[in-house]
Amino acid sequence: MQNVSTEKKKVVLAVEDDTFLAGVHRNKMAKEGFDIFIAGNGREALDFLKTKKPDIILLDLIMPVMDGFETLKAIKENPETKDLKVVILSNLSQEEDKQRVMDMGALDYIVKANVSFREIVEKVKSYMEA
Amino acid sequence: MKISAKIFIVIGLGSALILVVVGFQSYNYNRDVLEKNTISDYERDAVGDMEALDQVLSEQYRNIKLTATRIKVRTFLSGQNSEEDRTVLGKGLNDNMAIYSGLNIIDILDTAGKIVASSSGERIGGTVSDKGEIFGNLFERTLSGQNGYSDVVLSHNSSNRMEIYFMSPVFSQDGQEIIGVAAGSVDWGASMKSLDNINGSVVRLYNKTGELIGSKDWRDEMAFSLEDRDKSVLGEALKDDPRSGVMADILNNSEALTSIAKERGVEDYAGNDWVLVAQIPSTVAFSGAVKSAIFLLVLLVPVIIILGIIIAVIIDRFIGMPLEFLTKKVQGVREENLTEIIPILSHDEFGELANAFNEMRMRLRESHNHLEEEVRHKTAELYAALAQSEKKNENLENSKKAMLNILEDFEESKKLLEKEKTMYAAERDRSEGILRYLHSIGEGVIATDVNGVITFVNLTAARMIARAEGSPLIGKKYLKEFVFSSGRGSSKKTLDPVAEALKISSVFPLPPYCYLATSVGNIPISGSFAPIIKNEKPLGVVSVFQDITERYNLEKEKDDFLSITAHQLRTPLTGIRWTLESLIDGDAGKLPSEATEMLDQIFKNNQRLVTLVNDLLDVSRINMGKSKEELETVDVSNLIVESIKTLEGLAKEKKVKVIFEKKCKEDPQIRIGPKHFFQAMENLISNAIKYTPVGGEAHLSVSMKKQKIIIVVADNGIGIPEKEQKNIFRKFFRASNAVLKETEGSGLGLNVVKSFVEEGGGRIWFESKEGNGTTFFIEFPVAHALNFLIS
Repeated sequence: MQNVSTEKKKVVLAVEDDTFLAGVHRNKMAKEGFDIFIAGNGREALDFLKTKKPDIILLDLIMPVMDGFETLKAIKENPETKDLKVVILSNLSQEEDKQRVMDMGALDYIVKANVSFREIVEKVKSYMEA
Repeated sequence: MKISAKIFIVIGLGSALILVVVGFQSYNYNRDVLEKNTISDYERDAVGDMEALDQVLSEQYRNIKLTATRIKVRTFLSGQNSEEDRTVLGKGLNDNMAIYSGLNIIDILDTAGKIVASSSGERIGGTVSDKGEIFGNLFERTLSGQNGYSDVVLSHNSSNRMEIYFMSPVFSQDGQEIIGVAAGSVDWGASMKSLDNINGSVVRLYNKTGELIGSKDWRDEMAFSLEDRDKSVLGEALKDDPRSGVMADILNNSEALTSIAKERGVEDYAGNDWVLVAQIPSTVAFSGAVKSAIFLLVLLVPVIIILGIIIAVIIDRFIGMPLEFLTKKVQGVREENLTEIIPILSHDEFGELANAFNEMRMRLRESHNHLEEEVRHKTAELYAALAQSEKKNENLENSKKAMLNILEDFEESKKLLEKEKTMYAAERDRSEGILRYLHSIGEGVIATDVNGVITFVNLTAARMIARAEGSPLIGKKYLKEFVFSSGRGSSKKTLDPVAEALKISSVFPLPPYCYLATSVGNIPISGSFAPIIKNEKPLGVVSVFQDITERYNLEKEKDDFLSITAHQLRTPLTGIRWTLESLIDGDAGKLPSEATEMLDQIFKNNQRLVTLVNDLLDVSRINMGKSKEELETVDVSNLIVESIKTLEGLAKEKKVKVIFEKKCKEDPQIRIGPKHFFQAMENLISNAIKYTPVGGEAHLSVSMKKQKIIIVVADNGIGIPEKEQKNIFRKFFRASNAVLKETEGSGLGLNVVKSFVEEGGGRIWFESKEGNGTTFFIEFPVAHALNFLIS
């Protein structure tokens, strides 16, 4: 495990409209030593990306204002953000949806209800090192 | 009717006919004569009239020419032109005009075109350009040394009268140069007075461009239009020699007779080729013809009637009476009085006729006697012949019997033939009927030969690809007309289902998510292709397919609904799960062990809900056929090993040993959706683990046998009660002993397994005894025989 106190904290952006889940993200990720930011929908996420480039983005799909599909498209179309790592974290489980976002350039697709938060943290860490 | 009556009628009718013909001919003859006379009268008048007109105009022309040669005019123009001279000259000109009536005005112009003297003093100082183009042109011509005159023109004076200009050059005393022009204008209306002599209802005058320049009724206004009915006549007249008078045709028999004359000119006044047209109503012209015809008829009728009666009486006397007498005598012959002699009354043709009758009567009597004898003789002969024919009849009877036998045979073969014909017709009707059915059914039907060339297309199929009738498609390669594809986006592939059906020699079902290219884009279809086999040889392929757009859309809606529902259910479950994990991990401080245990229970129940949502989603999607996965060739052993790996945790927890054995040398491959196969194996293996007591074993194996791959999953667990065995693949069913052993479980796992196995063309069955374990068998066909897709 890396020493978070001496190194610059890695930045995680969680795009999640459910405040309860967002709260878990905030607590758990902070405890893991990440600099965690929460965006309530895609629009907020894109606004955030104008000021800061996170090391990884955890993106929900079903959200108000601007959903995850549109957000991912905007991220991948913008030359400044297209190389950012995006992991989809959604409770949709249709193959078509999964195929669609993977084709659009997502790194991974995780069905939230099927994993423990610990597994998410492990994945985030492994993608950051990659 | 008596001959004499007939004779009277014929003569009467003949006389009437002669009267009609004579009357008609007389009318026509008189009409022709009258027409010729009338036309020549008018022509003469018209020619005379034109001559008179020419005479008047030529005089005016001569007057101007004379004026130009007068010494007074010459000296005036030579330069000695004091105001007094001008007045004197003007007065002289005025006197001239009084002599030659008809001239309006006489002007003297210098070579610059300025009026220097005039019969009318106020005109002095005017110029050529004031007087219009025709005047100007005439002036130019005159300056070159020629005399000249114009056609009828509308005056440029305010009078609005019609005029004719005459001009003549004025030469110097030595005759070497032109020093001016004498010009006069003639009052056209006055000149036309001569037209009054013509005795026509309409008399008109045209110039050679066809403009109406004068009429008997009016003289002062110019109407620049040609009346239609004169056009054709005038056209003919203008073609002719301009110097001769022309006789015109009758324009319209019922209305008018027209005669034409042309201007001939006098001396050097050659005229303007004017044409005169005069008309009178034809009724006036031809009234004489009708009168003389009636007069002739009145004279003829009594003469012809009297003549007719006389002729009729004479004929009756010489023909009618002798005929009547002869007729009475001949009637006697009909009454069989063959001996009476007709007396001869005259020695003409009637006498000869009576003679001939007498002779004929004698001959008749002789032949009558002869005939009676002949009849007796012939009757005797007939009796003899009858006796002979009796014999012949017998022979004939025998031949007839033989003939009848042959006929009977013939009838029989004919019936047989008829029967065959009827059968053939029925067969043909049946085939036509089947073709009609095929055309009418709502599914698309196409058939090809073994080379993929279309041999049949029904209307539905033709309409799907927007063709009006099936026939133009026949003979074409089906691949070009019917483009089948599967998958979407990057994974889209074009299919050749005909080739596939021929390759596997059995029905080839179109894969899930199959599309047909149409004019409105790709439409989802389902269907199958089957080889047509005769005597074990493929003749071609027949296919039935169906547009499933509606079903497809409905499914999509339902699918979206389910997907969102699952999503909404999962979201709170996720929150609960993660928070419980957090609590159990001690994020909220260390908990008493009892509390941790309770949280574990909550966590497990929460997990059950998550699994239930997942399974429900799976089952619903399988039911809709939606969860069908694209088939791929997969390595069975690899996937089994991997699914065992994911369940290692569970196996460890339950203390169950999972053993896998590959019983064949090759790596067995099947065509199936890899994720589905993986899930099916996972479900079976986890069941084996869950329902086997601690320390038990689960055995897996894969083997190959005659193009079949068999997978076995066996455990020595609790088994399935015999009574419940038939239900275990049903949705939500859980065996009674299973519920006791393991509270978790939705009862959907085996249902999913069965669906996924069948999706890959496999089948599943099991053997079990309660308390003694269960063995599941899965059988798949080997993949290489089923290489469906072309790339």
